[in-house]
Amino acid sequence: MKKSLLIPLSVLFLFFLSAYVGAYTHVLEYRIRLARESIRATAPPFPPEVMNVLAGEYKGLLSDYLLLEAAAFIGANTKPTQEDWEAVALLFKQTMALDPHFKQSYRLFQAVLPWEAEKYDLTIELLEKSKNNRPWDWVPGFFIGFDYFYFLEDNVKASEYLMEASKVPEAPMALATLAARLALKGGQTLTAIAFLRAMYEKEDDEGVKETLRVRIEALIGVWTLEQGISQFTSRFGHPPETLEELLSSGVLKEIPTNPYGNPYTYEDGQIGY
Amino acid sequence: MKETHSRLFEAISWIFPNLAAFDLKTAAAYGLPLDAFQLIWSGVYGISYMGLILMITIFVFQRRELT
Repeated sequence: MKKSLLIPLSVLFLFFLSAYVGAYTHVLEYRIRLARESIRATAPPFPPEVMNVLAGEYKGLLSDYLLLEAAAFIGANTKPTQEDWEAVALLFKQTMALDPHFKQSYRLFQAVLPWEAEKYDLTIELLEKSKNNRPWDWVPGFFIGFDYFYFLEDNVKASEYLMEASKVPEAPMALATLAARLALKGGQTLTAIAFLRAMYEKEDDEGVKETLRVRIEALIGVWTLEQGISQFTSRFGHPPETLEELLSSGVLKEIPTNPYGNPYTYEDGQIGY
Repeated sequence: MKETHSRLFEAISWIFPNLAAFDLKTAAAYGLPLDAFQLIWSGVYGISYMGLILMITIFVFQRRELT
């Protein structure tokens, strides 16, 4: 190597080396970590009918995109605000207006809108759409029945929808049984567990399955506590004041653990989880 | 064993470029603000890495008879 080159090359090498060492430590942490609070749900600011016109030929594509937006937000595991839920609800309305045939849409909004956003009427309205557009599919009707039973506590309507769903070919036998049991009323928690088990069996999305599994576990806990309370009441002539009394009186050996983390609550005769 | 492993991986991280520094797709997808210093350091990182490789290449090829 020529001597005249060696010195400037070495200087440049040292310069780059020091810049590299300096930058290396800074850059080490530059993988962006999203803060939970920074993720917000947004929907295009148009009513579903307008979206339908604007989408033109690309209804299917746009519908999928909007569903993906909603799914990405839901899957981000944030602590959604009321505004977020409004946006998610609008996304579902838009995606359903564009493509009411897609199975994934109703499965997703049924898993979220009534349970977490407490939008029962909207869920049922959208499920009606899925049901009418998928006459070969018993599941939307089954979901409507469940929502009437569990959220709106309307057993008569629930039983009507389940009866209707049970007539669809390939509907499980258990639907008719469920409908009958609902018509008889009573055994609310057990019925809900039976419902959720039917959903669990038919679900093939692992994420939704896990959600259902936890819900079933929570309801089994509720059922155990309800049994304990009714035993306590028949033994002592009055219901217990707190859940701990079930333990101290020996009715229950242990209070079930709530899979959602918080202990079960007991207020005005109702178990909360 | 664990100690040697982490040493080894640290050494590897010095040799191979950390491309995550240039990955801005999360920020783009979620509309998050970009930090100016972050962009500058990423730039310095990239340029100095290229410079170092270039210097090493020059040293290597100086010793070879190419013609």
